[in-house]
Amino acid sequence: MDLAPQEVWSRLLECARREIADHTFKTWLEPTQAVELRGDKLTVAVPDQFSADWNESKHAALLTSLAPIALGQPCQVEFIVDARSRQRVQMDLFVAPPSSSTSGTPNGVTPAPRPLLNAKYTLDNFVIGKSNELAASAALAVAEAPGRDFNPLFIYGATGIGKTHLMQAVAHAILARNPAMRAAYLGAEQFTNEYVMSIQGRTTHDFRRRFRELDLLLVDDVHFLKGKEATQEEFFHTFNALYEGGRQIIMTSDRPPSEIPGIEARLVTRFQWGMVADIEFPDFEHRIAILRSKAHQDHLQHTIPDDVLHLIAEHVRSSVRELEGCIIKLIAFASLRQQPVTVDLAIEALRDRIRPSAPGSGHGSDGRGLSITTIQSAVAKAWGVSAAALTSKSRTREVAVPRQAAMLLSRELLNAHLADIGNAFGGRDHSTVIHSLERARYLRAADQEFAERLQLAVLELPAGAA
Amino acid sequence: MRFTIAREKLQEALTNVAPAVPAKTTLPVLANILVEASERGVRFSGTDLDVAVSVEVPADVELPGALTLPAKRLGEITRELPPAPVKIAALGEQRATLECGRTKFKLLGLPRDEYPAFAPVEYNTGWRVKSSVLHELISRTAFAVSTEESRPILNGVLWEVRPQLLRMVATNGHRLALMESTAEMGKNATGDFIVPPRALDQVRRVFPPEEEIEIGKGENHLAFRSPLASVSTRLIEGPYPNYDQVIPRDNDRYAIIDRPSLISALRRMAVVASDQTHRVKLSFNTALLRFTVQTPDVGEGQDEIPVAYTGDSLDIGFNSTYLLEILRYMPTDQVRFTFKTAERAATLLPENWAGQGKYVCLVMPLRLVD
Repeated sequence: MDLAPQEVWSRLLECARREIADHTFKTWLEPTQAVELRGDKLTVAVPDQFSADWNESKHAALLTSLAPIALGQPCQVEFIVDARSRQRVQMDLFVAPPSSSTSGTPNGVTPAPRPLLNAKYTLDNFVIGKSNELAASAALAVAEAPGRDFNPLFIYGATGIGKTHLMQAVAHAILARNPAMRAAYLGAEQFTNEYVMSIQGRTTHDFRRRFRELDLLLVDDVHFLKGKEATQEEFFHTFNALYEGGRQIIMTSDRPPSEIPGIEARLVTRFQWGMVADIEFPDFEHRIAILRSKAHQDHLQHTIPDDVLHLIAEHVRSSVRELEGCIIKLIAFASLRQQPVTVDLAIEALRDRIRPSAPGSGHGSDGRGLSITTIQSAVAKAWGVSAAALTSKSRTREVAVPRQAAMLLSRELLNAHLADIGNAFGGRDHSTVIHSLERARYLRAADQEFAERLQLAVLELPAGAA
Repeated sequence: MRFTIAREKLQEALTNVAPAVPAKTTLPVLANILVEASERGVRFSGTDLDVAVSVEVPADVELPGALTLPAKRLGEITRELPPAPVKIAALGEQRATLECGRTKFKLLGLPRDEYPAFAPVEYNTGWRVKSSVLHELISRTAFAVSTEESRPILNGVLWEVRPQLLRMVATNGHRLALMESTAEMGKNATGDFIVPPRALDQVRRVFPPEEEIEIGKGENHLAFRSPLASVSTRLIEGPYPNYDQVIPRDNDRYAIIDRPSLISALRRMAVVASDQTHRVKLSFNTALLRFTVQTPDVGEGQDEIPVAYTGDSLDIGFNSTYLLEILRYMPTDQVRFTFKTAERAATLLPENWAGQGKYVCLVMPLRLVD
C-alpha cells in the first residue's frame, strides 16, 4: 500500500465520524495525528497518556473493524503519546518523561521496560528454509518454553542472513505471551560500553542489578567480546547468574563458539552448553520464498512479477539483507521511472548486482572456453541437429529433447542462471528452463539412449570441462 | 406585552445575561435576548446553546407576553438612558418600543417562537449548596483549566459531588488546582461533572454569595437556580484524567515562603524571561531562595529572597506565569512549596489556612536544559 499514514488515518476518521457521537469524536479522535504506517499497523499520536489509554480501550476495536470499509484492507490502529510532547521543555502531568518508565498505567501494574526490538523481526516474518531449519526450530522451542531445553541458544552464521531477526523474533514471541518479562536486547559492543561506563560512573552495582535480574537476555555479535577480558569476566558472571536462575539467554555470532578467537575457554564451554545452531546461506528456492515474503510484507505482491523475483534470487546469493536491499532499490527505481517492474527494468536497476547475461560471458562461461554456445554446439552434434535449431522457436520433439539436454548441461557445468539459460535458448522464460531441466533429469535417469547421448555431448566439450 | 421597569433593574438584568449571548453566531436569534413578561415580573434570558442564563427582575407588567430583542443594542441603549422608568411595549410579534422620559426607540426583534428551548433539568433529584461555597471553589480552581483545543477534556472543571463533600479540579496538564469543601447536601448529591469554566463564571456573576443555590441534573446538563435566576450548562462528556495519581505524595523537601515577596520576585524575573517558556530557575538553598533567568537575545536577571528551607540545595525550573497564577489564588500569606526532584511535580499549599477544606496546586517544572 502506498498511502501516506496521514491519508490512511483521515480516511479511517472519516468513516469513524459516522459511527461515533460528535462530541466524543471531537474530544478524543480529532486531536490526533498519524505518525507511521508499518505493514497494516498504523501508529497515531495523541497528546497524553490518558488519551492514549482511553482511545485504545474505547476506539481501537471500532477503528480496526472500519479499516476494511475505509481502506479496503485490514489495518490496526495503535495509540502512542506524541513524542514531541515528551520532549517539550514544559513537563506534563499526564505525559511521562522519556527517560523514566511509564509510571502509573491504568491497571497499576508497571510493565517491564521494553527492550529495543525491531517490530518487523517476528517469527511470522521469518522465512524458514533448509539453511535455517535447525536454528528456527530451536528458536521456536525457546519461544515456547524459555529457559528450559535450549539454554543458552547460540546462533551463528555469516552476516545478513537472519541471526538477529531470529533472536528478536523469540523475544517478541515471549513478550507477547508475557509482557511482564524483563528482557534486554543489546550488542556485545553495547554491553562492553555500558560496562565501561558503569566503571567510570562507579555504578557497577546498578549495572549488575540491571543485567542479573533479567528474564531474557539477548546478546548480538558476541564475538565482539574478544580480547576484552574484564567485560568477559562480567559477562561470565552475568551469564552464570541468569543461567542458574533458569533465565533464557540467546546469543549470536559470526562463527561457532569454539572458533571465536580471544574468548576465554570457560565462556566458550558455556556458550556450547545449550544449543548451538547455524544458519547458512539460503538456497535458490529459499531465496525466492524470502523475496516473496518481503514483497508481501511491503504489499508489493502486485507489482513484482515472479520472473523478476527469480532473476534477483538467481544473482543475489550473498545475504538476505542484500535480497531485501534489491527489492527496495527496484521499487524505488520503478517509482522514479514510473514504469512497471519488469525483468529489463530489474536488470537496469540492479546492474551493480546482476551481471550481464550474454551467453559466453559472466556466469555463462568458466574460463576454460566452456560456454552455453559451446555446449549448444556439442549437444547439437551429438543429437545431429543444427545449433541454430536449439535457439529457434520450434518445439518439435527432435529439437526439444536436445535443447533440454543442452540446458541441463549449461546448468550443471556452468551453474548458469535460469534467466541466462532462457535468454541463450531463444529468449525462453525461466520457468520453461525449470521445466526443461526437470524433464532432462528425468530422461537421464529413465532413458538409456538419452543418457548416452548426453555423455557423448560432454565428451565433445573442450577438454577438462567435464 | 407591555411593562415598566426601573432603569437600574433593567441594567442589572442585562449585565447578567449579556455574557451568555454569543458575539458571533450562525443562528441569528441567539444574538437576541428573550424578554418574557408575566405577573411575577420580567425574565431576561440569553444563551449560546451551551450555557444559558436567565434572570427575573420585578417590573410593573401591564400585559404579559414575550419577544426577543437584539442583546447588543438593548444593552447599549440602556447604558445611555437617563435615570427614569423604562417602558417597553411589543408592537406585534417582532417589534418593540422603548420609552424613557423623552427618549424613544423602536427596535426590531424576532418572534419568541424562534428562540430555542432550554434543555429540561430535574431539580427534584438535585441538591442545594450555599453560593459562597461554590464561589470559593470556582475562584480557586477554574483559572487552571486548559484553553488548548488539543485536549478538550481539560477545557472543563471537574466537579465531584458527594453527600458531604464538594471537590473541584482543573488542570491544563502543566499545572493543576484542586479544592475540597465540606458541606451537607443530602444523599442526592452525587456525581462527577465536567463543567465549562464559562458556565461557572456565570454562576459566580449571577448568584450573590449569600444565596442558596439549587442544583438540578439533566441528561447532559447541569443547572443552578435561585428564586430569581438560573444558569444551565451543557456538560463536557467523557472521563476526566486520573488527577489523583499525579498528585505527589512523596515530596520530601519543602520551603515555607512569604507569598508577597515570592510574587514580587517572580514578577521582576518574568520581565526578562523568555516569551515562550517564561522560564525562571529557582535555586533552593538553606534559608535562601535564589532566582535566575537567562534568556538569549534578552538578558539575565537574578534575585534572592529569604525562605524557611533546610534540605539539600536544588535547582528547579518553572514557568513563572504558572507560579504567579497559582500564587494569586493562594489564600494565605505564607505558602508551603514542596518538591522532590527537578523532574517531578511540585506542590503549593496554603500554610496555616483558616479556611475549611483542602487546597492544593501542582505545577510541573520546566526542563533547565533545552
